Amino acid sequence: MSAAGRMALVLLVALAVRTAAGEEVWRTRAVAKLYGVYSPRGFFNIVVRLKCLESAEWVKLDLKRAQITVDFEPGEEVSKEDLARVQHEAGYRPGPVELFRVTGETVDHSAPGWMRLKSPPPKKTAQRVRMARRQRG
Amino acid sequence: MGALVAWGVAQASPATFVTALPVATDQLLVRFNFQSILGTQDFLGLQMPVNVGYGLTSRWAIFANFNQAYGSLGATTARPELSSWGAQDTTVFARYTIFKVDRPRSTFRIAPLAGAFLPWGDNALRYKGGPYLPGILQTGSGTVDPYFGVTMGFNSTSWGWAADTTYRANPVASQGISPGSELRSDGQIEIWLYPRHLPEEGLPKTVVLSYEMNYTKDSDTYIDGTLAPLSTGTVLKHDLFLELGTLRWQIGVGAQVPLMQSFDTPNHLRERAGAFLFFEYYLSAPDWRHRRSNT
Repeated sequence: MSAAGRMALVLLVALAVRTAAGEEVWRTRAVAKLYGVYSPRGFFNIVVRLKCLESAEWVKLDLKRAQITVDFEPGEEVSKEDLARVQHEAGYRPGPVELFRVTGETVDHSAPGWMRLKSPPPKKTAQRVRMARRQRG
Repeated sequence: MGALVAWGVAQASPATFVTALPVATDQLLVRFNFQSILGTQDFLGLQMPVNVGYGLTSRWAIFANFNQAYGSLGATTARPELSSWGAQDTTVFARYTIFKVDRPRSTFRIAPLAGAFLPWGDNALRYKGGPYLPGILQTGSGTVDPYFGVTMGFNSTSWGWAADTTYRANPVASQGISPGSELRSDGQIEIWLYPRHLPEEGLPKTVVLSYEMNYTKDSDTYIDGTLAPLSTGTVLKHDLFLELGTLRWQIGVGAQVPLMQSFDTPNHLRERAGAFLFFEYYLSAPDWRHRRSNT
């Protein structure tokens, strides 16, 4: 292979690696304002219903802002209606919900108020392993 | 066997459990209580009620209260020392949130309730197979007693209030001691001691000081189906509680002092003081009815 050919191959590999690295795993993040929740017990009502959303993985409870922030499993979609239903089934009037897509750097669950909702079920774990393998190429 | 005493003193007044606070669908709430009461005639009453709540839907909740109790009366010239122990009547009721106003960090709710006291206790306990023990040492009413009422409350991150009124209609049993029907009203006000200022992020533990008043009016008692004259009573008590709350549990300690005790007979047993301890735990019930995937 000529020098130019080797150079082209290196550039292609570098481009492929960057593309793979650039395909960062995204999560759906939902921020829901809460109406009627005023105490830790009230937040538990919300948590009970959130646990029924199978892809809900992390939740941040903020009393002063009267809101929850929910991070779902990577690649999972949710709707505003799902979050409104969570609030309704917890016994409260649903508040407004906003949905975002967040990626690696913005997903930090070490701030005060974050708690993990549950361990992912085996099926989801297998999906995650397959996804990680695909990303590694 | 000594002076017949009415039911009201034996029924300790817990921190208002009949609340309008929401219970999420498929949520379980379990509350363990320990209550002690000291009264005249060397009366000692110990109760260990366990309250269980379950959220059927966002508005319907069902509750069951199980109770074990011990009571003893000191010896007098007219009688020996008496005591009893056992399961008391079990309460089951359903509550429906008929009206609510939910705002950021506050809620106001009104919820009627209805159910019954089931005769798990005994209303014909005797002393060594002889005469009946006094009413205060009986553990049941002997009948299924319809129970209904209404509860309401406002709560926020700085203060709150709650009130309830309930009526327990006690039919007359053909045997044993039948306590009279009971009208009861509770009022409560609470303030948050901690945190005084909410943190910018997260969910803090809370410390709440709660003041409560309990009013009870008992109708006439019946013995073996016959009216026992001069057996009504009216009692007003007040309580002070300190409660620590977290996401999954709440613990509280309190004291009770009677304000007013009015009975038909002057030698009626009267409460002197009471003490309370409770632990409330929240957990998710199996959610097979509503489990779903949003994927």
